Amino acid sequence: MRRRNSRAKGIAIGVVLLVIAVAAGAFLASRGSLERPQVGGETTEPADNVVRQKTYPRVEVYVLKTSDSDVYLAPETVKVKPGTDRHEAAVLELLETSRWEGESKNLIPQGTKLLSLDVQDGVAVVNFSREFVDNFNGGARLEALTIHSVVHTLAQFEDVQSVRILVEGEKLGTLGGHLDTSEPIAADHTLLLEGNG
Amino acid sequence: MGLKQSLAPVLALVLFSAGLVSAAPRNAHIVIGGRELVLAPLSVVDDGAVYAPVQVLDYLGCAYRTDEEKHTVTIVTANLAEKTVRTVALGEHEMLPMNKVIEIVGGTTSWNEFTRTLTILAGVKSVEFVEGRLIISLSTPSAFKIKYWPNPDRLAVDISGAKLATAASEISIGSEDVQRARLGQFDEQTARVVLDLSRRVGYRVLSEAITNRIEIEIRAGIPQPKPAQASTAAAPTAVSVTGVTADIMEDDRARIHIATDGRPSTSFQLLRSPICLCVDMPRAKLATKVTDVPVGHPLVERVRLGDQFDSKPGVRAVMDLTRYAAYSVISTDDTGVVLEVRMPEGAGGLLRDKTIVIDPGHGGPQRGASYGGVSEKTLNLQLSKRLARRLEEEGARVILTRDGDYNLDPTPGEDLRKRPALATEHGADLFISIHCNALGVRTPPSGTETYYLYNKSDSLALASAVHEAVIKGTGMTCRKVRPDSQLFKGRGLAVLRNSTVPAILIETGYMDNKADLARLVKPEFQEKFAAAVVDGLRMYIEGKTGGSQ
Repeated sequence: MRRRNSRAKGIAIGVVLLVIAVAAGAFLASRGSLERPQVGGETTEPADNVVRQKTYPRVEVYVLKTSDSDVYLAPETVKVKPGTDRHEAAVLELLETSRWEGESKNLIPQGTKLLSLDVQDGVAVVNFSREFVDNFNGGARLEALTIHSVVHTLAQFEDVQSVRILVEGEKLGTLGGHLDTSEPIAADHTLLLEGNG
Repeated sequence: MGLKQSLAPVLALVLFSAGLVSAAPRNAHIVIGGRELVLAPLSVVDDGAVYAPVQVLDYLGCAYRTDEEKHTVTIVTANLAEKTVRTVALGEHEMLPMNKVIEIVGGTTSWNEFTRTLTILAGVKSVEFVEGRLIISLSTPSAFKIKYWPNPDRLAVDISGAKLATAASEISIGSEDVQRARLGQFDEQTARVVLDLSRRVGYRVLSEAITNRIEIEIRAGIPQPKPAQASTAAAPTAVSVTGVTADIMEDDRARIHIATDGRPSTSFQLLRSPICLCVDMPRAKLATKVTDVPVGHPLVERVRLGDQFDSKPGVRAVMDLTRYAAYSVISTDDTGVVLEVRMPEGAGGLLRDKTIVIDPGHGGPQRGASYGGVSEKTLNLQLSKRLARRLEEEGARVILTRDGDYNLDPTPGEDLRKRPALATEHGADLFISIHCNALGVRTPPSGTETYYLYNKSDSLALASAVHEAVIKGTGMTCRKVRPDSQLFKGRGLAVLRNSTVPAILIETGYMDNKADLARLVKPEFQEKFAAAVVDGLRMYIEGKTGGSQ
């Protein structure tokens, strides 16, 4: 999974991206897409907007995909509002349960809120509300997939080497009673992705 | 143009009888030309002498004929003389005494009592340089490697498993390309021939990879296969599997050596039906005609070699096991893979003499998954209690980590530590954690998954035995035996990771799958499951099912 950082891209690329983004947006919208609702109609008029040279930050969000026989984690690339914190935006995308339908599924238990998110010395500390634990309803594999969806999503950012999960400010001992998650979890992109199931 | 010079033939014989006293024949290994032979029946050492099946002569590159009535084998030597050896009946087989064979064929031998290995070192009979070709004649076939160094240009041929008869020597050649040949012993089992060259040359191997007549074309103007680098006579990337030997150490452990001519890449899997351990070597080539080696060990029946697996090229070595066993990889190097197959921990003896910890997952505030108004913690306890009762009926001692709706510690990490700690406290043999699964997707899968502590092959053997019995006994869909590292690298499942005895976690069925849940809640299913786990445990411990169903 390649990391993407749209901040680094030049203006020319930005213009191209915008054209692609608008085209893709129109395409996805027609299929009941994963797109965020557009704010203020900014991107609905392609001809005018090309000259604005805006880039749309993109983040990868790890969701559950279904193949014929099994499930696996895979990233979905989504655009976020310009000017937002990409770390936070990515986690917030994970919490948007209503958005993930069809072949993809968001794994974070329903009703979970993000209370805080900090990155210190390579450790992302993500603090969820009670619902993260209370509404978890699965076995060992779902527990592992859920934890790794959070870890993989945050590990796309270069300043994150590992992730500590808190619930209401307390260390998460275990999410579902199978894994011990009291210590920070190092990103491992080989885990639970396609082919591992 | 070329100058021919021969070295005196080497005919040394080491007698290896002194100090060897054994009551019955034991399996022995024979190494010729740097590689271990695959022989069926296996060679044996009896009363200080090594005996091998007649087939050994093929490896020694000899022509021969057998006379079964007279119990003799006539060997045709290199100078076409015929010498007859009387075979010795050992068990059901007529075997050749190796000291007599070496006396006729030539070469030197050494015996390692610890590994019971007879190493036959080829003698270098002659080194010639004729019409641009280096020809090295050996008493027995050997593998060889070529090295090339520039400035000053030299070419070396290292002959594995060969020994010079004389001290290092020099032969003047004086051809356009080659000044002289120097002969030396590179190490104890490698003879080296170095050519001092007058200019940069190329070379081409004309003989086979393993041969008693090495022939290399050497002259300016032809390319070097791999300039200025070590090169093997065979294709450099493909590793050849040259044979298999077994070393019976004790009744509860055996070593299997899969011999190769280079370091193989390997993967291992324990298959359940029939029970066998597979060593897969992708891209490797099979370089032996002997593909079925009887071992006859209480754990390992035989080893079979195949030249492909999963419809891909490569070599698969299949060890047919008599029961579920643990294994460890002793070494993987240029000479192949050495595996030890052994009786797994907690196995052996009888089920009724064992102490088994059964861990109903979750409990108390930790309810686990919840679907259709059923809590996982309740199902786990029901399944566990039925299993406990059946095991007690069989005479086994059972420790339940909980027998009601509670957990062992309010701190989740502590709870997951205290459960397997009970196994250590009670001196238990095995730890079985019972769970039910859920994935929370629209079309959830169906079936049983069994997890094992990923780095403990004893746990893999236990998981395999129990999983196979559960699938057979309950009709649940098989969703594989899985290493817990698949879930959480480096940490795995907490109850397994904290266990000191072989430990498994069974995810019995999917609660979010309506058909699975309908079965899981039924007492009849729960009884079937309990009976099947007992069968699996008996299979693991006693090596057979008791037919309790």
